[in-house]
Amino acid sequence: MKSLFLLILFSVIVVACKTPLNKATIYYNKYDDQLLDIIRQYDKLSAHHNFMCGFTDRTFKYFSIEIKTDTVRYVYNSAVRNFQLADSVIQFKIDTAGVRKMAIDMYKIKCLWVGKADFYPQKQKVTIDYLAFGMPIKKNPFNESKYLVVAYPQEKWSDSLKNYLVSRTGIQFLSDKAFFTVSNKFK
Amino acid sequence: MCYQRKFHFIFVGFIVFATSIVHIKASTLTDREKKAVLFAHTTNTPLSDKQKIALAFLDTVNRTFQSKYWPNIDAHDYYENIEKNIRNPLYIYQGSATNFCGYAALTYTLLTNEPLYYAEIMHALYQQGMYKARKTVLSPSETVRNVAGTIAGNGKLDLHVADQLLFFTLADQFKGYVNLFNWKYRTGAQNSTWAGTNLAKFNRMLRKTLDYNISSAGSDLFRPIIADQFTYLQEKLKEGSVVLYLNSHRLNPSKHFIINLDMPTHFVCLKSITENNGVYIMKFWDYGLQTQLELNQKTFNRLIFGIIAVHPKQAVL
Repeated sequence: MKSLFLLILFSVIVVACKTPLNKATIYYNKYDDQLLDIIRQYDKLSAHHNFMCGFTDRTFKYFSIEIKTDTVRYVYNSAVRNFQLADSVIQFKIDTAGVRKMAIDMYKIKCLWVGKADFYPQKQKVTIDYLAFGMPIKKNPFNESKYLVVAYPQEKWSDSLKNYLVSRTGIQFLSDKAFFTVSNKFK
Repeated sequence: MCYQRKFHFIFVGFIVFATSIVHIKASTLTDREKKAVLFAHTTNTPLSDKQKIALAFLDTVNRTFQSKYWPNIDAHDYYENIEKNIRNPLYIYQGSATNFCGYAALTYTLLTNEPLYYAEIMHALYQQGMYKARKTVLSPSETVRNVAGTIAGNGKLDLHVADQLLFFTLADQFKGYVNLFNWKYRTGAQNSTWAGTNLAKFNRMLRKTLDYNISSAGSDLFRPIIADQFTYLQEKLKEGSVVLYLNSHRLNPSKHFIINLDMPTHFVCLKSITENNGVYIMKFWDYGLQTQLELNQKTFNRLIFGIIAVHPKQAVL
């Protein structure tokens, strides 16, 4: 009985001590190939049209796509126009079959969102591709929900740039080509 | 044949030469030119008279004078940012992680109604470190004056130094109950409740800084009681500018977590709203672009917590 109690206590402590870095490392090590594959698919699909997409609910039922032009951001969600999402984005000539395949791959690893983001460290534009995952365990229920974001720079970063970003933005590198951060936004 | 080959070599040589010149030109861009490329934001909309007058005002000021009040803001970058904002108010960007949306919505409203007043405020704040606005004196503390121009990790806001200056000034100057436990600026406070804005605070900022006629419906906890919200919004849009205070979780929309607090968190400036087969299509300014969003009836009913209709007291240029 005592050993069972100790086992449960140990498990609780282990779960409580599971930091975002641990979670990110676990995700990254487990799904490294799948993550890279999704990023490659996304890069190919978004080569001509800048768009982001992903699931907008916990059950991975509804899919949303955001298409960005120079001055307008178009947001479409299958929750609003059920089964008509492909019709809505057809005007932008996005490969909807490719997006559908990527969405299935995202669903397999419970990835919520894939997109691009720009940083401007030292007045230089740096673009990253990123994947967002949910972090369902919250320390404080009144705090805003957080997302675990695994990101891949589109170009190789210099050491000085890496150091600058680590010190100024708090990102943590998982490997030479990927880093992670915790954000309160998934896009 | 020989002549053709010779011509071919000359032609290829010319292409290689021309390409190398373009390459050299691209690789020898100065920092200033690179920055100009980063700032590039095309718009084909013709300028209004108000915008032309504001730009004419900017031409009369000394745009190279480095302010002693804002040590981390370069004069050239600053006035370039102001000029871009006047030419295209959609350019206003509150940062990807900050809580500056309220101040950015106010700036957008000011820019669309009175670009000249915007230019005057910005010029005075930079050169004198303060500005006597219509019903208040904008006088940012030394702490925020030293921070403006240094923030990182917020997308284009890192480059928009004029936006940083105004947002920090307003956040430092105006306080509401949301700022109660985070009153003084600490490093990174722009991402915390220090920069938060509630509805009453937003209205107070509009009244004190801009002295506009405001009709506000709604609150921080309860949605406005309006029978036909869609028609109401359309009517208010005909009268002037409309700012919406809404729940960004429904705006995005996302149901990634079990608990999603049903409360307003975000300010946007509405540009138009239409309805088609039960789907509402909203166009609004948000994060440096015009966003076009489709909403179903249920989401639309639960989205908006505050409707602030704004129009200047007199016709102004």
